[in-house]
Amino acid sequence: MITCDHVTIQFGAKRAVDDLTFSIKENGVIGLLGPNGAGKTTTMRLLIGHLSPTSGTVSIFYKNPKTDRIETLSQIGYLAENNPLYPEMRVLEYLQFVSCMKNADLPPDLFSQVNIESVLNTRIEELSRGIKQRVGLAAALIGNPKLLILDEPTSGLDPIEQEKIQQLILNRAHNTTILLSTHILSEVEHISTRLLMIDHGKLVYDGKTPKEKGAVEALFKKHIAI
Amino acid sequence: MNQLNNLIKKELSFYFKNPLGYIVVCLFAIIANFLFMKDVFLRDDTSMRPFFDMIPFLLLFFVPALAMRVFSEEQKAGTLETLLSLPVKEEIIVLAKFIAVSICFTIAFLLTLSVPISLFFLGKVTVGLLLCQYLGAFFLTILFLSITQFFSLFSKNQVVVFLISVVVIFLLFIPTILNDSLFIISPIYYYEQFQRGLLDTRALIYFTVLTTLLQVAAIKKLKRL
Repeated sequence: MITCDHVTIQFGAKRAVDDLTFSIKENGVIGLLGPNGAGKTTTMRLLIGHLSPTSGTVSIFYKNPKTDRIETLSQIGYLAENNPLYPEMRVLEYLQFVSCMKNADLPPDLFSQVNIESVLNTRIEELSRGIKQRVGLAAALIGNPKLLILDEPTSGLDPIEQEKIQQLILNRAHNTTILLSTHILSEVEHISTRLLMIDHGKLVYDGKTPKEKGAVEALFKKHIAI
Repeated sequence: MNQLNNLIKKELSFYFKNPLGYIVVCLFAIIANFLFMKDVFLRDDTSMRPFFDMIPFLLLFFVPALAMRVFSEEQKAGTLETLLSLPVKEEIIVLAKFIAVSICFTIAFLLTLSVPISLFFLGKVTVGLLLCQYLGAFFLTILFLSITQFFSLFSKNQVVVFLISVVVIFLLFIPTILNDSLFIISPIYYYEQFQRGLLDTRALIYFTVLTTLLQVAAIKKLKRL
């Protein structure tokens, strides 16, 4: 489904991603963990075709996300970091816009799934950060994508909102591959089945997420140079 | 086609959901009407030439004012990333934004129809000439719009986009103002052909080719962002 083969991304003198190699074939939540500036967002932008690798190859569903952009994006739901939405639009209007761009119908249970029924006629600029995240997630879910790429979906939310978003993600995990970037250790411990840990653009750990309490933190301390 | 319509609708709804669209469109129409009408009785003439002579100078400022945001604002807000994560071709995005601003200026020009309608009651108005003059103004508008749209891909700062666009468009005026031998490259020279009522093939080719090239350049730049 996702294959990164010796991918390097260089921005001038800075190597944002350094010889990254991994492959994801299974459904479930795969946590992409790393400190700030580790290269998580760059990796995600690479996967949706916003960036090209300086060297190495990337394939999503056996296609190049940069050259076969439309084919790959039609199977991906993406929630960008900071979830940029159109503030002047109303929630329903925005979701209708996204569904039209994806050539997909709005799933009838989408609003109840992400619990946004009460704000459908509210302008996006008037929403709280937590509800905005839910709207962004709803937009990513339109078209029933096989792959969800979520860049720090719970960042900046209070613990109750974090838990709600995590539950929404878990509800989709049985039939979707979800690549979730985060720097919150408890989040990956709680919801991910597999863990990719990156530091300074390099993959430093790829394996099952340990479920024992504190095990992810121990792994993080072991592999990440702080 | 569905995606194109949807994007045009989104762009137009932005312009007409906040004051920017109304201010620019209405101000353009008010200033154009006022500058012409203030002297109309002194001229003792029903020609629209004075009106269309000042249109390039109004467009020099009004087109960048309305179009400066098309990509720079989306880049600043991060919504361009959201838009580009949807399965929509860059060509459609560029074309939709171009059509939406063109529609705004078509509305602005429709608001200036009060001038020829008034003149129609005062004297003789040649409809063919008038249509040709409006066509010239439309071609000039879409060329200036393409220039601004192209530069809006280079900066997140709308003021920078506005200033660069005004300067670049003004540079295109210079050969005609100085009556330089390079007047052949100036859009004002070709605009003049329309104002004389000439539907010159060279003028049509000039505007179509330049506008298309700028659109292609914008698409290429968007693909590289």
